[in-house]
Amino acid sequence: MIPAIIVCAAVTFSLRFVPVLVAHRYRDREDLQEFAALLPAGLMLILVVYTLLEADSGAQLGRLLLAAAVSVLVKLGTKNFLVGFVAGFLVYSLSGLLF
Amino acid sequence: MNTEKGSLAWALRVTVPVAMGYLPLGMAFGAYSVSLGFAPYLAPLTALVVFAGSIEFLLVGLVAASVGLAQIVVTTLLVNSRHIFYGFSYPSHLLHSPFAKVYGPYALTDEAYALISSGVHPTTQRELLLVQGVSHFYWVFGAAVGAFAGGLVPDSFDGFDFALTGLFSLLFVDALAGASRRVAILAAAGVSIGVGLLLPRSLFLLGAMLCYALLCVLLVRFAGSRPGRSSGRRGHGSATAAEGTV
Repeated sequence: MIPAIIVCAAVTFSLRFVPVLVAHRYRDREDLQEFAALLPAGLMLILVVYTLLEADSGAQLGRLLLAAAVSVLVKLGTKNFLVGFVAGFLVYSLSGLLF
Repeated sequence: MNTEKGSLAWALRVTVPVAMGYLPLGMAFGAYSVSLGFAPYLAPLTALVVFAGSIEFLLVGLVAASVGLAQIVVTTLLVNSRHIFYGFSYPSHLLHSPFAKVYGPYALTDEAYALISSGVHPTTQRELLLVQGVSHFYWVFGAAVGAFAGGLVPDSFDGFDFALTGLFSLLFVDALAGASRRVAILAAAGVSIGVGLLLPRSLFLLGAMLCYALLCVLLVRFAGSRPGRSSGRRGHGSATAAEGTV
């Protein structure tokens, strides 16, 4: 675990540190800005699917999907990230008692 | 209470939105890490050293699945690649001491970036580092509480399994709302997920993400938006999308 933490931290730090050093050189590159704008949404959706693949059973997959949907709807309704997260968490935990 | 700009009380006040995200998610991370079988001290240690949120959830999962360091490097590169673009508008000119010059970029998380570039606008090294340091503390503290108290949660309770799905679902919606080419993004992500599903399970994340990054490069190169459109607005959309990301 410790080597993994160090490797992960080193990569993360490099990703944050190097751009600060070269900031002025590339800040006006439009293609890079466009590329950066496209990345997050798709990567997050891939990560959602990744977590769904980890489900142990069809029942757990159903609970995850239900809770994620509730979480997103509550977030969109309240405009509050945390409220959405907690709502999904509650739905997921409580549905575990039923299925 | 002294809430003058640059005081600790000021920093605690302006970072309330970050605390609302970092404390519960940090606790979820700590409990999740322990639920995978890791010693409790490893969660706050990871939180302190890596300080990058979603990759930490993935990291403990990958280590638990005994993947190699190479896959951890590539996954970290891909998941945190978005951080590359924060440096471009980070007020590094405020940093003077050697420690600050390293710690500032080191603690440049999505939330810190969102706060610094949209809400707080620090004007001194002290203000900038206070905001980032206080945020760092929330995350490590949350992970410690989750790791040490989460062990008291019975094995039959699997609620923390939702943390990752919930986090990424909400960040996905945020990111999509802030993006300008939603159809292209959804199509590219759909194709990438399809490609990933064709691969062995252990290569899904890597394969799908590489495919998506490649498709994004192609989208920019061959189907880029018309020159007349403001890139400044897209840049802003990206910063908005990052809000709420850990």
